[in-house]
Amino acid sequence: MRHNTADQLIRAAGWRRETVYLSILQSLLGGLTIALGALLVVGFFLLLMLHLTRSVDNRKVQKMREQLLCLISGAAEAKRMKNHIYEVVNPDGKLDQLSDIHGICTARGLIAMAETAEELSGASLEKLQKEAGGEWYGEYLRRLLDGVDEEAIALVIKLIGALQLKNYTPDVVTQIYCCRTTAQMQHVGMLTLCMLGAERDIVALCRDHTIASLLSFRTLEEIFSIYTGDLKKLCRKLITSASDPYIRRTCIKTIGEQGYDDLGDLVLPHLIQGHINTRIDSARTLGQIHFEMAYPHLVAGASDPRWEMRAVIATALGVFDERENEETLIKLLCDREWWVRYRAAESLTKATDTRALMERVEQTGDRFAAEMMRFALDQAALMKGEAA
Amino acid sequence: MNLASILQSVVPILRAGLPAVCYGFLALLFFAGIVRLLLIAKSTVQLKKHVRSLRSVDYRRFQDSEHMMPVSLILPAINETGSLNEQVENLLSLDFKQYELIVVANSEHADAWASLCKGYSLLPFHQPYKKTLKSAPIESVYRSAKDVRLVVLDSKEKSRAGALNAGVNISSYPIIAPVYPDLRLTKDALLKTVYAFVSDSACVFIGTFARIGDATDGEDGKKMPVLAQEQYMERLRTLYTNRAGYENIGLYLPLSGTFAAFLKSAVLESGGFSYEAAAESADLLLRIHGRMRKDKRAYCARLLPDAVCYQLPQQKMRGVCASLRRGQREMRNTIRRNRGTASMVPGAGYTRLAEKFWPLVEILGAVVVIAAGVLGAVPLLFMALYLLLGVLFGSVQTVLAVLLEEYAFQRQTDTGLLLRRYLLAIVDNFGFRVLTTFTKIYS
Repeated sequence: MRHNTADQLIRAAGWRRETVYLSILQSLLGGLTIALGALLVVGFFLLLMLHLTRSVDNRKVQKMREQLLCLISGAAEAKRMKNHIYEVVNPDGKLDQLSDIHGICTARGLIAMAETAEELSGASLEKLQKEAGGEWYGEYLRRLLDGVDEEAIALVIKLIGALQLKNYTPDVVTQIYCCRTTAQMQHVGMLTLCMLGAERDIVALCRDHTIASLLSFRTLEEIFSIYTGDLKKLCRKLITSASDPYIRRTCIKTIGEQGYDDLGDLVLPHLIQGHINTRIDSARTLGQIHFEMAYPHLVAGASDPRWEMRAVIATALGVFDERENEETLIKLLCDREWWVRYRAAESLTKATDTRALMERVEQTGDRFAAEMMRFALDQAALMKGEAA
Repeated sequence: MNLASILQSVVPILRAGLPAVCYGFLALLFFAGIVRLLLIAKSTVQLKKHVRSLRSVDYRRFQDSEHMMPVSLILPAINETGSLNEQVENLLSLDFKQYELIVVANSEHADAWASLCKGYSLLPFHQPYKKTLKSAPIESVYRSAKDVRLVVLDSKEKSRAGALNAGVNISSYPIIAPVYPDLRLTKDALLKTVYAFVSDSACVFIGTFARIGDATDGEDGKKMPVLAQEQYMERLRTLYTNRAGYENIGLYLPLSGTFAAFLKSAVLESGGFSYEAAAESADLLLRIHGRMRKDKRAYCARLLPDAVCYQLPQQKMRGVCASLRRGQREMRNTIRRNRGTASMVPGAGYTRLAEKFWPLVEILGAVVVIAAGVLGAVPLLFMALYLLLGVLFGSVQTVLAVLLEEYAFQRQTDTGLLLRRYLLAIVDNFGFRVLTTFTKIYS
């Protein structure tokens, strides 16, 4: 009915229907063109204003310019926020508290706070800790922690770690439990707990079978490396109790890297029995800490069917007395796998009499072993700077 | 029947049919414009998320970490005749704990070879290696007495893929990253790229999107000539609409000749870089996709949107066109060679459609509407508005891409440079963009 009425009106005015539709289309096109054009013109004038006012010596103008610039550049916004935070923590600063900073209760504010915290120390850091842990900002943090925005929660947790706000430790643990399927939350949460040195909470979390680690092995290694508490004690507890094999492996590697030689007896069982990757890490660690009791097991590992194991054994044996192991290492130098030969050659370069060693290698009649040995010796000389 | 009479009979039919065709093109223009703006919006959201997640986990912590995966950079410089020192210096000055740089060069190119020997005190080395991938024999291996991370291979190899395979054979580390001679990396390039492998153990490939410029820190843009600025904006437009936009919805095909990192084990399993492929990296990625999907293994291959590498700009428009044509040819070759995988990986074919056929539709639309306007099939106002809308959509898209890049990745905002780019984004639609569109169609 309505359609007929429109048709009647068009006919009454003496127009063709196509003409009417075309004019409507043209009006729409014109409107869209004007809208897009206006958008471009406004953008142009904003940029022009920004450019022309760059050297104007007026505080108000510069403040406006700064605010405008923050719309275009994330870096400018972060810089502005950081400058304001410095004003708060600096005794001579013009700002007294965090609530004086416009936009501090935003994601960008959280990031700027965490980054500034890493640059501060002493009284300035204490002031920032006090401000962030205070009632006003604390309320904002609490609101975010009670919310559902995981990205914002991750930023809050990062800030808690950076500022060492220990009273929030239970909240961090709760968030790890709540977001147990989110790798980012696990990463930030564990990182924060390590920064806070929260040994009891870390051990409890790692023991829990319902929390499967979503983090890669290297990420875990890096997280544990920044632990602020007693790392040796943490390793001792986790190597026997962690439910996740990655975490146990991380402890094993840390023991080797940190040289906790009195924890060797906790590592040895993992060399004898377990997953191949755990056995490989154990072999490496036991070599690094020069654990004598592991020596027979390491020698036995030289004939392991897995080349990865033989390669690590070749390195581990290099730590023990080279004269005692020369036979085994030369056998590994003649291995069919390139990497085993390479690692054995690296271990053999520690020999004092390299000429006698080369003769022994040549006696094996294995061309590849001799080539590898020569390469390892040349490389060792290069590393020492003797080649130049 | 003569030509005049044929024309006389055809013109009325054309005039009757042209308006409908014009409206069809208008709908397509509108559709394409909206889709591109939506893709930019999607890119913006994802980019914000990416930047925030990097901030919250603090990847910079890994800069001096022992737990970062070491990388083998491979520079296939077999066809380079000029000095390589500037690039080698750039690659040896990256902020990364453990990496090696393998340069595959041809000693017959005297200048390039002499620059390496003189600049880095090369020493011949008897390095045994396992020839896992197919490549021409390596004449000799050299190590630098000045920097132990530098390994130089003398090879008479003619193919880039063969040179890369030779580099993979001699590499010591679990991540392989081909770097092409016209690329310059930012100091944190390796850190950002390799962090993706560390944070996700299923990651087999990380692609990057080279920006155009001659400064590694991206802050020297003011010195860039107009043509280089135009190439820079064209690159950003492609990144934030086609490539990053599609990547966000699970579709991603890397540009050829850009910086990327592969998991070495995945490269070896897939047979390495192919001699027959025009774009060896993109081709290898599709083969890795194919293999992983066939074996039903969990894996991840993605694009790192950060500005971590810069490609030197072409000096002349002819060079720009040639490079665009080469890019199109390489994409065609990659998809043709991996038809099976391309059909499995949604978006490989679609990327080609968007970058090859949309320009055709745009130009055809403009030609048809102008013809219709001249013949009087549509009013001249309609014709003008159609063309204006095309220009405005293009301008808004470029301006948004430039602003997005500025917001996310620029460390220092230069308003003068931004203003120049803003104006250029509009003016470009009448010159550079038309030429590049024609080039894409012609290729």
